Amino acid sequence: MKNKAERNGRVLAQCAAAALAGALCTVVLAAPRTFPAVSDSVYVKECGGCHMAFPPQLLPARSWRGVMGSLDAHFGDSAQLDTPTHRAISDYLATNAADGANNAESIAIMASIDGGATPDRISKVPYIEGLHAAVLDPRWNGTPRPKTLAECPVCHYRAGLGDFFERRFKVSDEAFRK
Amino acid sequence: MPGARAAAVDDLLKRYGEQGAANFSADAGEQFFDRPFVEAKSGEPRKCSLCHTTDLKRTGKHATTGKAIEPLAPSVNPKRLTDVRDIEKWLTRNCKWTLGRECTPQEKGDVLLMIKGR
Repeated sequence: MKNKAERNGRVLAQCAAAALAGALCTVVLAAPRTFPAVSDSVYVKECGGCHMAFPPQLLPARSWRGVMGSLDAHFGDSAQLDTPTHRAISDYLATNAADGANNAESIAIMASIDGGATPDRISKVPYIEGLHAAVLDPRWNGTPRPKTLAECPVCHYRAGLGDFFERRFKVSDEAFRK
Repeated sequence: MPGARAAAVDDLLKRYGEQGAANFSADAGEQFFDRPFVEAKSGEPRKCSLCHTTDLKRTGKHATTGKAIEPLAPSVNPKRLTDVRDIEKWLTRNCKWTLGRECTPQEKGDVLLMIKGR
């Protein structure tokens, strides 16, 4: 897949050509991504088989260490990996974790976590939990109605590209009247 | 792909045979695939077909996360059963979740043979 800069560049070039020819041109540049798209093929294959390959920028390195240290009992499942694969994924997650990332959302995530706390799942990060409070409420009456927050793309349909700003869900007026 | 699949499945059936299993049966594999087990702690019922459905040509759904699981049947998903390490990894993980233990070589061989024919 072409990256965004390249794509935007191409659109601009086409528009410049169109403008020279006296034609009208509308440019819609894509909104910036929240995180870089997850591209590590080992991580995508091994972790993305059961759930979305979550961007490592969503948790601090200490949380990822905890997750990777308990894969034999991974949220009720066995997700054991052989040693080289385990090491490769651990390194990838630690290198790209929220505490080393320089983007607005990772900074907000880190700011919301107590210094001594180590959230053991993404939905336990106070910033993220807060943003999703309505969806997590048992009285949530919108659609879709996810059982857990594990499947980001249900609402964040561009999450696979690292874009969490774009979202799509419905809440009826009825839901607000209750 | 069909060559890689035949080689991978033959390799594993041979291995399971060396571990004491014999006379692999796709029928037994089909029954095993839909046999209910009970999770010791929660008491919740589990079986292979809970996520994969009983029609292996269909897309399944992960019981916990809801993520789509590509069909197991090689006739509609030719990537299936082509990598020995992948097969063993998933059998180990999924047997532990479903049965609360690893599957026996006989159980694995029967299921493998059943999936291969779908």
